[in-house]
Amino acid sequence: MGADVTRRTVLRGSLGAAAGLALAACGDGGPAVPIADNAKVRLPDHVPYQGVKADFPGTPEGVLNGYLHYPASPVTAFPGGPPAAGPPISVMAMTFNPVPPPIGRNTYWQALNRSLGTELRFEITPMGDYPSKVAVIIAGGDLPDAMAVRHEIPQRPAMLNALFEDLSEHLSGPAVREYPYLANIPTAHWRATVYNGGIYGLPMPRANVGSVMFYRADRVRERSLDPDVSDFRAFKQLCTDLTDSRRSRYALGDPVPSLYFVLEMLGVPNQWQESGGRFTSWLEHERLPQGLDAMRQLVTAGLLHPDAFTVTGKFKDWFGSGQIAIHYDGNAGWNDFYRRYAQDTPGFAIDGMLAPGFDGGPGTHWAGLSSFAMLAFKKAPRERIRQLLRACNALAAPFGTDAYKLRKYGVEGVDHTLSGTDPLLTPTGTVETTLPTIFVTDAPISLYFPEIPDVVRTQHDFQKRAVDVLVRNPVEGMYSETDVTVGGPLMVRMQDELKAVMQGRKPLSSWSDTLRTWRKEGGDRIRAEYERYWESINP
Amino acid sequence: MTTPTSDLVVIPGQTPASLPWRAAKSVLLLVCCLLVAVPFFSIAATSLADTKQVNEAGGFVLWPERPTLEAYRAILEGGLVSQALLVSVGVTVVGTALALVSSVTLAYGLSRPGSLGHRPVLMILLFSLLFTPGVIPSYLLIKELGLINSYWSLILPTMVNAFNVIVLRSFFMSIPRDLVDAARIDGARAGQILRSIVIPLSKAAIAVVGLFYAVSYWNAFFNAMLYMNESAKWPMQLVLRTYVVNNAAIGAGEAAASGAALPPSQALQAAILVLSVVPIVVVYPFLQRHLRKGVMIGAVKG
Repeated sequence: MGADVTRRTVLRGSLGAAAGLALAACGDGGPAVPIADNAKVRLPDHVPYQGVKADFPGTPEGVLNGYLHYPASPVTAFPGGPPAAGPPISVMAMTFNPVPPPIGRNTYWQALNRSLGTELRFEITPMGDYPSKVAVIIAGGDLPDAMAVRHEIPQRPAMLNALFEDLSEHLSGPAVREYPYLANIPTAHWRATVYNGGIYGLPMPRANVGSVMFYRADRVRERSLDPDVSDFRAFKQLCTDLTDSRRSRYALGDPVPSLYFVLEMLGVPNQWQESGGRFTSWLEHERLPQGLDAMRQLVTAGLLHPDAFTVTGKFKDWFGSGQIAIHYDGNAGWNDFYRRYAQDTPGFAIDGMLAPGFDGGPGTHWAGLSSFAMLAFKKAPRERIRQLLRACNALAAPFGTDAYKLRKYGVEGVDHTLSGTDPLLTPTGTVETTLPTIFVTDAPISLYFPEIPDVVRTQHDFQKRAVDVLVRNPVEGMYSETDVTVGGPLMVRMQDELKAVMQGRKPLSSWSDTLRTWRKEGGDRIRAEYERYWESINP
Repeated sequence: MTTPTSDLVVIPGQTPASLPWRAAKSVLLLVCCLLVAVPFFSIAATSLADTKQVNEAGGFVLWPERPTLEAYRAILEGGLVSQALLVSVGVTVVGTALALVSSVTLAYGLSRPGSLGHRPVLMILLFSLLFTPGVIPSYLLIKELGLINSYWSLILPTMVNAFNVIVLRSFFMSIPRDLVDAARIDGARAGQILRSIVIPLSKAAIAVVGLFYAVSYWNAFFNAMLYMNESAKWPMQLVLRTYVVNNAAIGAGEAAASGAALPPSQALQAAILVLSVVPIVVVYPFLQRHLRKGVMIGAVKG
């Protein structure tokens, strides 16, 4: 891990240098644009797609649409034929999954290209290596037509200004209506695409709810426990009742996300809190020590897996196999837990738990990133940009259309078989559909689980409860260079310190020293940069 | 001098170790062997176990109760891994052959003190041992050479390894000069001397260096990640890497929050490890006898 961070840090530095080189070499970048111009950007209009009626309707506040079954006759997304006919499009995107088979052996990829009318040439890079790949691509000047831009890329505004297209004239306000499926993406998801007084990319929309405190509903039922905990004391009792160390059964696994849940109980802000233009980090919040102390109690009581502090990457398996019963993870994991573990565990059931107030009453729920990254387009003639936008519009076709079904489930008979009207991925489909279209752009996420449709009801119910107490991260869509270059490694160190306190390796009193270090080594600069940004857009 | 007595070596002047002491040593060695062998075996067993057993065992199993090739089938589905295997074998064979040719000739030249530019070339070589090029300069060079997306980008940048050249050079220097001189008197040219005298006498060292090169070509993934835009041209290690470490790249929950699927199961990861070590395990016994001699290079002076 240490070596990894160091390598990444070095690469980040080199990316900075590379971007500098590239930008210096690029004469048409133009002067830096004042941050204040970002406030003047008119975000794309939101025109919700009405073609398919949801079984569980979403809300403007962020509850997602839920569907029990796929429509028997999917809506034809492009009745006029392939929408993006033209030269091939190279797209550089990251992946978390195993890479798909090459296009020559990938029925799904070929069908997707046919449906678009062009060839999508994916340059896929594993997520862990993405920053290094971006660094060399920028330095080498070999930009693909479209590239996923993540928040760890430094000098982003200058880089976008110099090398990528300002899409405002195509997308701002009513202009987006020419691309109806992009217009279907809610406005909030577009905020993180604004730089240099323009819209510099397409969002990759993700669920507002972000993460979920999953619990094994089957194990809770088996022991006749009440998962609707009313305060921290009840949560601790639930954890105690779910722990049976003689049978290697514990309540909790990963300590840091477990701490997040306790902090949600305490009303600690989601990363940052803004009040009248002044920013406070969650690390500095007055109730963080109380959260650490509460976690310390859970650790001392033996309610965390004994290896919780020493392993990485095992928590999902622990949760799926029942070694732990409560696990904080991304919302998208909900379906995957069922797919992976339900067949080997009779009665397997999971649900989401919301943080109650620490001493009773309502708690909070931290919102996730509204866009995982953005897709930026290399500077190109207007017509080429329009072709790219038409292709991306097709890749954002929503649930209920034939284009969505093809994008997510591939070709019938090869990639999926039908169960009623619902597509179920075949082993070939599972492999082929890992083509990272979700890291290009996407429709707003839909709750849909063809294998066990009833799960959608539980998910939608959780969404409704979570959105009521959702706390957003106020710096989303703002930019701090120090946060990009220093923030990541600094946060890794802070998490180590948090673990040390939770585990009892360091006393709670050491936290104030740790905080001083955080402030000195970047925290204060990050805060100042966010405050400056905030002041610029809120004069 | 040593005198062999059955399977025990007794050094004159020393009494043979007592039976309990030898038994204790045997046990210790056995434990050490098990420490290496059991995890290896467990990985192979896990790759053959079904999900249920892997989950119940908490990750690793020692014996697959219901053996299944499901994990291997999942990896080989779609043909990407088998294609990547071919790429890896090709890059390793061609790379190792070219690396050996270039390293042997370079090392031989450097081992002859009077050869042209001997000192500066040696200094350049040593310099590359101390300072490796950065990622971006390397990328720019490969790009200028027009090698992006070419298999040569996987072979050329690591074709000459200074450490291996130094090892070979040391070995060549230990060959009696008289042999070379005698050949030269007989009319042999430098190339002939290298082919007919130096290489046959250096098989052990060349085998070791060859193995070093082959293993490094086989295991390399970073260059492929940088220089190969088409995943169809990726070597096996990079393809397999996407199965094993991808989700560990970012913080808890972020991968799932991003919409990515769960990381592959433990059985699948184990199967990947097995697949990635099989070729090396197959080749190793054939090289082992050279390796034993080769790694002793320079260990005993005189």
